[in-house]
Amino acid sequence: MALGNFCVSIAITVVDENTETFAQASRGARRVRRRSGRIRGITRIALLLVAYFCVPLTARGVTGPPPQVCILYPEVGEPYARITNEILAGIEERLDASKPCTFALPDKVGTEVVRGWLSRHSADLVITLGRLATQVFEMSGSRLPHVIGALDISPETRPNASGISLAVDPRVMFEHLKKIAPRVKRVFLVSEPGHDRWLVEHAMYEAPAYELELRVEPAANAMEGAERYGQFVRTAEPHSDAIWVTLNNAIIDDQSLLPYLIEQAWYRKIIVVSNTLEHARWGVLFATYPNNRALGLRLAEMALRLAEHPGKALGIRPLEDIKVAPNHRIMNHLGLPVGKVGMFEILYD
Amino acid sequence: MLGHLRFQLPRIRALLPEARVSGITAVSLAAFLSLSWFMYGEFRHLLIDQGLQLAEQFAYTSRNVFVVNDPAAIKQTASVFRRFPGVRYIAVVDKDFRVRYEDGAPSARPQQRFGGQWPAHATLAAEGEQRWYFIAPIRISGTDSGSPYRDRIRPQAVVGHVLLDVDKKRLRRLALVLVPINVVIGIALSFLLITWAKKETLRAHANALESEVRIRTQEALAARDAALTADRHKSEFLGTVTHEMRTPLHGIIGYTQLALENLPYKDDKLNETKLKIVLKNAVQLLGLINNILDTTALEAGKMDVSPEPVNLQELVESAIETVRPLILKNGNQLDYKFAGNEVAVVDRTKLQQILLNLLTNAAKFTNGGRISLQAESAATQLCIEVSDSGIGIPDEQQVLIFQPFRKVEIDNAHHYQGTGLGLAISQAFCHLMGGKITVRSRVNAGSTFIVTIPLPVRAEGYRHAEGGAHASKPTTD
Repeated sequence: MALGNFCVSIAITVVDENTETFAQASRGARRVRRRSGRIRGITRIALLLVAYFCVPLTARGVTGPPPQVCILYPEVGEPYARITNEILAGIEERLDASKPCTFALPDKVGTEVVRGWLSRHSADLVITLGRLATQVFEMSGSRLPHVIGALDISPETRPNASGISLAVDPRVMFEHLKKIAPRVKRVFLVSEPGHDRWLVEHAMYEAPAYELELRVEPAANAMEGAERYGQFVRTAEPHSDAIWVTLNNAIIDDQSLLPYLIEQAWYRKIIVVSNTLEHARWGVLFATYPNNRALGLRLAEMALRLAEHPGKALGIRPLEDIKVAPNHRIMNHLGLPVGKVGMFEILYD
Repeated sequence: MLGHLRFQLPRIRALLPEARVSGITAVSLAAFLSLSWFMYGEFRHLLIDQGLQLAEQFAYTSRNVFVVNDPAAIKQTASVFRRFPGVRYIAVVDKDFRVRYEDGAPSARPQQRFGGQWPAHATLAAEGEQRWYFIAPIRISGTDSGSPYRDRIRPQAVVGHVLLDVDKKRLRRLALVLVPINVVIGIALSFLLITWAKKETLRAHANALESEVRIRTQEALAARDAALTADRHKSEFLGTVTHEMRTPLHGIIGYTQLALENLPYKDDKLNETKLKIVLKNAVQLLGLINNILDTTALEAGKMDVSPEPVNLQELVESAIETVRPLILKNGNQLDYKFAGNEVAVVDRTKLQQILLNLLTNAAKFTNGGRISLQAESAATQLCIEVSDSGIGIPDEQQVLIFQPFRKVEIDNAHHYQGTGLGLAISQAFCHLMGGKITVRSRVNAGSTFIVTIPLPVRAEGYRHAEGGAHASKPTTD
């Protein structure tokens, strides 16, 4: 039993290391990472096999009761309700056996209401979706394991949290950028030092693998952010330079920035990509948006892992499950191949 | 004090119309000057609102190019607003008073204008003699707090300001035009009001006068109706009485004549004389009663015209013969002349009555003088003129003699007996036959009565003669 637990803990440690090492891995080269990944994979399988035969059945989750997962989410109207429902569907699909209970929080819900509700449902773990649910749960003082979803959180501001941020994984972003605009050589990004460091580090790590040069400018507020973007769009090289507009609304005021950026980019044939779907309609080359169902699955998986180790924070991961909505007119304008537009669910024109 | 006021009252009353004109003019001018002031104020507010909107729009439009710090784009945007009418100066400044862009001559530096206190909304910061100074903040909007998936909500922030100087020339121009126009309109309106007021006053006076006349007319009509009613009652009374008197009078006359016929055989001279007096007075009374009956019949409109071919000469001569004894009795000479057609269609009785009345009057009021009768009968008109050289009629009484029971009022009137009905009946008969009777007279020189009757006389008569001498006014030449 003890040996079994030990082996499981080692295996999980290896798995967690694997899942949490994307930040550390960004410091090394991709080839080195692939080699070390193979070694760790073999070790992990061996340890898991030992653990499987050593631990009792209950520890394997075969006969024990599944954890009671409770989901808190905001009571919102369309279009947010549809997004929330898709995420919930993903979570429930993965937690089918444990039958998660859900609570749609009204605008002015009190923390004691949430505490009482969780207590009544004997919650083992909580998944919160969106700002309201997360804030209310955090203020409730509950010590239940907690996974945050559907929120643009950062590990810089929540170092001990577990969850998946809406901030898009730079690797995925670069992958789509290269797929749609293969001639891009340089990516420009404005970051908020106290909030976006984790993403910048990851992007720095991933960029060479896609033969991209990443240029990052710091900005403390929206005015500085706009100024940096303005400078870049005026000096950027047509076709080979791309501007990445992230989700950080503290340094990006899309209402004042985007019209100028898009206008200048149009005249100068600069590529602009964004993580806000609406921007594709405005005129960026493409915008990403979450694959909500996949996000729900990942949140559920993270919740299950956290349930097995309630005292351990799994950290915040960037969003990998995204979809892309390109702007057909901009693609034509930039002379980019438009043959594969049929693969996109949303296509602006 | 009261006496003084009473003394001044007419003067005040005389001054009232002038005071009213002055008052209306003053009120109109005051109203239109107030209107000018009001319109000036409204237009000023409108221009200020436009300036504020312009500043706000400029701030909003330049927000994009300002935040990205693109001088060329700021200039391009500002030049659009600089071209708006009245814009004399335009500038974009950041939070630290650094001018990012400016065009035109500033009336004051930003720091001097606002003392470092930047307004949070579009504001009219100051107003000079020549310009308005507007300022509006450039804002970065806050994050949409409606999105439930944002961890942080960025508050709205002011990142700079736009300055706008707008010329007040349009306002001054309006004032220059508005005041004279309104003064002219005020004067014109006051003129119209005065004219209207005068017309209204006149109309009110006319209405009052008309009402007065209507009331008086109704009173007069009522009085006339009452008088006519009384007159009709009088006529009816007289007619009844005289008719009832005439029957016994015929008896008196008849039996007196019978007695007189028998007396010569009895040689009773004394009684014969007495009976003759009785007969004379009875005949006189019968004449009076007949006259009264004629008058009554005329007034009641019951007198008919009976035209028939009449030998006029015979008729005239018969009348002369009837009156001749009276003419001779007063020592008068009679001249008679007839000319024209002998026969004409007239009412024999009435024409004879007219001739008898006129000749009797002439004989009665002439002593030792001349009486003349001239008759001329043409195809369409009969003209009879009876003249005398008697006592004459005073001018003022010539209109009265045709009224019933009115006689000439002279000193020795009691010498001339009569009822005063003859001329009234004569005139009424003339009118009934469509003719007229006129008089021309001088005191102590004689009188001339002229009867004119159109020929032939029609049976239907002339209803306008109804009412007899009461309703008719005689003509005097």
